[in-house]
Amino acid sequence: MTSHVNLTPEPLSDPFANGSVFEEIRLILRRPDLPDDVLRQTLAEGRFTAGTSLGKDAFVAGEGLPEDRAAVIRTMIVPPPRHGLEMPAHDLNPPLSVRFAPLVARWQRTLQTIRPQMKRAPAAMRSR
Amino acid sequence: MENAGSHVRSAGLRRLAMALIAVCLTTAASFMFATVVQSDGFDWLDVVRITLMAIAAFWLAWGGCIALFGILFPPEPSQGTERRPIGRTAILMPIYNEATGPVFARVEAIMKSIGKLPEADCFDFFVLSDTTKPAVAGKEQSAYERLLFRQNAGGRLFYRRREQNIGRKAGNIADFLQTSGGAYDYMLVLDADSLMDGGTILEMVRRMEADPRLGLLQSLPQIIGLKTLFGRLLQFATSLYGPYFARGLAAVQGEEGTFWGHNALIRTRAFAAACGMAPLEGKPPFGGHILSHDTVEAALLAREGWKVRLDTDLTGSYEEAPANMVDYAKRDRRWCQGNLQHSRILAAPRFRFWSRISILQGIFAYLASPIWFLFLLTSLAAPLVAPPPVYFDGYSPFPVFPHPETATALALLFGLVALLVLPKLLLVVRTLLGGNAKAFGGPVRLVISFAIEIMLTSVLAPLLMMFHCRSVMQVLTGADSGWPTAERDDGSLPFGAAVSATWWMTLTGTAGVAFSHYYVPELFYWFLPVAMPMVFAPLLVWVTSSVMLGNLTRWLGILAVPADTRPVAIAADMQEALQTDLGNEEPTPLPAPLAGEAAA
Repeated sequence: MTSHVNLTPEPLSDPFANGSVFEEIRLILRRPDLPDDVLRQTLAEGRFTAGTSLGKDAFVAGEGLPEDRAAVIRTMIVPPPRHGLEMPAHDLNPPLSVRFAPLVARWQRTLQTIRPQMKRAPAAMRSR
Repeated sequence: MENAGSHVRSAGLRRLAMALIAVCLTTAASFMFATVVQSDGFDWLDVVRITLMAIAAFWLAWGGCIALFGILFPPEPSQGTERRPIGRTAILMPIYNEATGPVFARVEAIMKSIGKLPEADCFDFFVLSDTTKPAVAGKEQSAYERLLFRQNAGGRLFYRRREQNIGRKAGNIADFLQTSGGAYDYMLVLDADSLMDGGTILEMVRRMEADPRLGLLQSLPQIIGLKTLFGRLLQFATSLYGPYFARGLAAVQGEEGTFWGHNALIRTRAFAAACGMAPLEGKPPFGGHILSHDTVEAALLAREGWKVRLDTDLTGSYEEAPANMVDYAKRDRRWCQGNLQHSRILAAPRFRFWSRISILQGIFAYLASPIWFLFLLTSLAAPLVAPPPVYFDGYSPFPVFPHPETATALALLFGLVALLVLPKLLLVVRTLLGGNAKAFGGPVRLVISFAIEIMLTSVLAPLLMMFHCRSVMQVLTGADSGWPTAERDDGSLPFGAAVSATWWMTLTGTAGVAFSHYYVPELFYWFLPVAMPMVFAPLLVWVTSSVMLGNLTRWLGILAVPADTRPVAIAADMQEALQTDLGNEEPTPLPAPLAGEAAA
């Protein structure tokens, strides 16, 4: 009988377990890409300012009017969207062999087309 | 498609016309100069002088033609769509050890201006810091948080700092593209001293959306905010002549336009695919990362079939500039290295013809000064090596005296001066006739300002020539400029700083005057207009950096620019934001790693 050990860490206790605060933040900031763990960290570190009518704890507890809550959300420091583009590096000063490679290839193709007789015959064929 | 084809054809015809005019003027100047120099016999040094003269004259003629074409070819109307932008735009402000307060005040002013638009939610803001000084980085982080809280800009304003500024500004932008670029259709690249009106930015986005082939749209930034005499001179010249020179440039470059590195809107995916640049083989100054990346990026976009356009009719785009000649020369030193480095990519594969011409123009902007300097040296040396006059040539029993060519020499001199002054004079006349003189203080003050501008630029030209010569020498001998931080907050200069920056010019000028007086007295008076400003270089640099003289010209209404009478709203917003932020600033504890570095 083999006993299996669960390597997945147990989730920490989450004060925002129902996720409604996260959804609210995503909606107000128009950032559906913001993952839960990032928002959880933002709230845990208190990276936002509370208004006069709504304290940080009250905000986290889900209290307050929608406009007051929206005002608090708009002071949150969240990371920018993570959507990178590939940026290939172009060589602007390639060596001559690279620079003229297409030209050389074209020249060789042309030669083969117009002068097929330039191809060397095998030695055995020549002696026959 | 037919329209695009006709644009390309007309740009091609204009290029041809410009080249023909410049070649004709150069030929005439060279012929006249050859006539003058052969009057005392002809030797190898004369060939060198004529060649140098021809190259320098072509450069002058080219500049004159650009201004002339700016008058002849007004900008073609360019319209954007009227609808709300579909794409999202990232407004990027790359910074590097800049003064934190003004940088964030500019971001706030732009944010406020955009915030007034119904389309405000289409724009996000990024402060991309390459700052290496931990104390400055701490201030930036703190200023960012204050601005975000003040503007309720959560999710719209971002601050990112790179620990190492690999690839400098180009690397900074590339880093943004590789992390967040895909979330945006366009990016507006600014400089640390840029200011742009929200309406202008929106119009640029609309123009970009109206033309799916447009890869980069460059606006024409106006210089504002300078208070020294030199600064006001610069503001006046760029405000009066700049738009016409830019129109002339736009008229010939067509779809292979220019990129000045800032105040331009760029299509992110096109830029990411086309504009990655591998470092050049070898060490700086000619190897390593490409320093003046903007011209090359424009060429790379054009190479991939994207339009690169300069729209001179876009207003509401501003920048600051060096307030004195030393800072100006310092900036030129960096640009000189970047442009001379371009000599290695002049023959890059698949570049468009005009892109190569643009790169060549950039190189020549700095090589022109050494060419003029060599011309002066050879002209001083020529009488010493000239063969003695032959009075009896063997064909005539009577002595044959050399034919005096003073009239031709004077005609040539006036011709060259005309190439410099005439385009500016034409632009002043056009401004006077067009009824726009009021913006420059009225007709009388405009004419006085024009005269002062011509006088001051003529006096400062030898100094600029010497600064350029030194920069070129430093680059050619392998000295890397190292891209020092631009000192943008510095206005006036102490006399000691002016002396330490220009003492070598005084020595060179004095030596030149003494040499011409003793060895070539016939050229003494011809040489004085160039040598005397060099002798008095410290005084000139110091006087022109005076804020008091700048204020005096402002009070007299001389060297006036439209911004003097109609203050720029966004600049006022920036000043207000700066004051507000200074009032709210609190000493912010540095994050632990930064605090450690700062203490060290």
